Amino acid sequence: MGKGKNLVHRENRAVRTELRMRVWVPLLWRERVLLGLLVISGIALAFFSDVFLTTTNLLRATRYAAEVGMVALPMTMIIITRGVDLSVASIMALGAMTMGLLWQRGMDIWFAAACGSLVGTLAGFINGLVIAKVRVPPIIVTLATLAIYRGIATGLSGGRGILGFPESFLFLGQGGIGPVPVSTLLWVLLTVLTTVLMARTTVGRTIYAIGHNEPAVRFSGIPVDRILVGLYTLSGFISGLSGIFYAARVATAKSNAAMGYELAVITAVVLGGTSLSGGEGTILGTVLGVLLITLLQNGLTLARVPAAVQDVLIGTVLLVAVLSYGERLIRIRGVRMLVTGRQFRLDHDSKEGRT
Amino acid sequence: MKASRVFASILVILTLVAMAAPLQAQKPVKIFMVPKFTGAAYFAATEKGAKEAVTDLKKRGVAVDFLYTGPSVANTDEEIRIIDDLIAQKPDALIISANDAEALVPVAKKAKAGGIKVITYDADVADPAARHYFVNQATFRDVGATLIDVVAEQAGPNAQFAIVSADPGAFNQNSWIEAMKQRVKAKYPKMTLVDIRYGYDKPAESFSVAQDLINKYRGKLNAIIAPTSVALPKVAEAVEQAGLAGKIVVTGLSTPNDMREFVKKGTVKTVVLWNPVDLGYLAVFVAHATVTNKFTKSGGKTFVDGGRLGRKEVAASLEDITAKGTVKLQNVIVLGPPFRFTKENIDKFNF
Repeated sequence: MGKGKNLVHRENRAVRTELRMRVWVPLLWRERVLLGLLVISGIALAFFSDVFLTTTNLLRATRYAAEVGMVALPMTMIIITRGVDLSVASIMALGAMTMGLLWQRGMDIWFAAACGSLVGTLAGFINGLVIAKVRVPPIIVTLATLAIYRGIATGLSGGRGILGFPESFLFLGQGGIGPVPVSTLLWVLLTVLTTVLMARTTVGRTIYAIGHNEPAVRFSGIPVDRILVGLYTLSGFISGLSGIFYAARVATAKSNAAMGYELAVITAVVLGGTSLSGGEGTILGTVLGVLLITLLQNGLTLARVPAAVQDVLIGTVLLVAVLSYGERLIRIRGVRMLVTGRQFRLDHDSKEGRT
Repeated sequence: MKASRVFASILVILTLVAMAAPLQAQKPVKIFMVPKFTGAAYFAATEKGAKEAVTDLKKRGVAVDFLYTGPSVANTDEEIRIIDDLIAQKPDALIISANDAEALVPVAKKAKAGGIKVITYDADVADPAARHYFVNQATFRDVGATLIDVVAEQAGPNAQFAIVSADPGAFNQNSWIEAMKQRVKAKYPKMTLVDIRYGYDKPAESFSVAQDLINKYRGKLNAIIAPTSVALPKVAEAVEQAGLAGKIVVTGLSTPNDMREFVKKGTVKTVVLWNPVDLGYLAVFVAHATVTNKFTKSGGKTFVDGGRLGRKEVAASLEDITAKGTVKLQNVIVLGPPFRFTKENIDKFNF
């Protein structure tokens, strides 16, 4: 009897430990790899430029990470459900364009910005609705809306950019609190919120479960569709918001805004260890992925490395990192390895508890 | 936890080491140049010119710390990020060719506010207040005039000519066409523009509209002007196929690499453009002059030393012809009259 009780106790611990693991991601191999790469490249790049390792420079560089970083958060969740949202960059442009056009027609800039992110939310909601209700694969739906949303933005603007936004608005994209850019602060806030959502709530666990085995989750009576619609709507909202920040940063609302950002976002998510086959990934991994790419781009530019060589180097880092996430390969071969992996961590944890 | 703590302490240590690094004893003029993108022969030619200028400045005893870097493909966001990273290194001057005239305004303003001299070349930013000077490769007025002059020289001042353009809405194209019309009106009243056709910058369409023109005006057409690098080689090909090489004058705007075979065969005697090597060269001299504030004034005009290119005028305001009417450019240095590529000089260029 005592033994059985102990087992139950152990299982509870296992669940709790797993939760903790998702919050303190350094426990996972891929985050260790990313941290290692961050440290190594940080040290290496510091030798080539005296500007690189200064707080001012690093914080300034996060301004470029923040827009991609924000959009990467819901993207991580969507990819965990085995989906993808290719329309994010087009929604950014659509959001920025909506705001610009409304402001040009006399609306208050902040109200216009709210409308811009609202239109983004609506665009995301439409994505989610088609994906969940009509059951068309996300890659096809969002590939179509990638073209449609960008097309609407271009059509509305006639290809012309809108300039001359008030200074108070430009502060969003160009100013900061001390040396910390406003967008970075928002990124940090959203990161904390999404981390909690993914690691501490039922919705978070369901998102992982959908990625592992969607039919099983459906048969368990969990409203999968509602969660999916919610995720794509969230993605639309954050993309719209990020588009507003983008417009404030470049002081222009133009329909070619954020061209190609969807790839930068997906690259960061994959580098962060999220599996495209679903069920696996962490918010912190994605954040580390975004940071690593930003750090490399910034440091290599400061080290005067030509852009073409930068692309090759960053591509190589991506490949090396993803190849080193051997964990996934092992998991494909058999669940056993995964179980032993967890057992090890659990044992390690309980040992620590005893001493 | 542990890993992040170690990381944080390493960062702190390295920051301290970096800050303790000794300052450089001598200070060369730091000039950074950011093209639209690096993967193009055209911009490589501007880089070549810029490096020649750096060598010429060194010969005069001016040490220049020169860096040429930019996105590998045309990408506005990359360009903005790169420029912002470069501003952190506090160069004395930045030379920029803008991928997007509007989106680059804030970052150019930021550089200017940070005490950096900002020079645009090849493609200006939308707000002239965001930069100090724009090194203009050639005004629409000059390019249009030169194309008409070439036709007048090769087909006579009474020539009947047609134009093969890109897109009816293309601002550049329409501005050059407008400048051509004004040149005809002002200098060659007997010359007539019989037709304008559009090839939409697609090789096949450009070729077929050129054929249409040749057939429709057979025996009456003396010249075809194509102010686009896509259409010009196709017009030359159509003229050759019709057996009219040498009978119909073909000229326009294109690059030496696209036109080399036609110029060597003689189908096209003159290709008009500007010399990107000189453009890059002049941009560096203007940047240096702006940093050291070395401008000369004479007769109410301001001039800048352009090295081997000689003295160039700095125009506080310059009128140019465009499709939207006359515009006033501010703080512009024009490279000079457009460059003519001919059989004699075309092999000196690779872009």
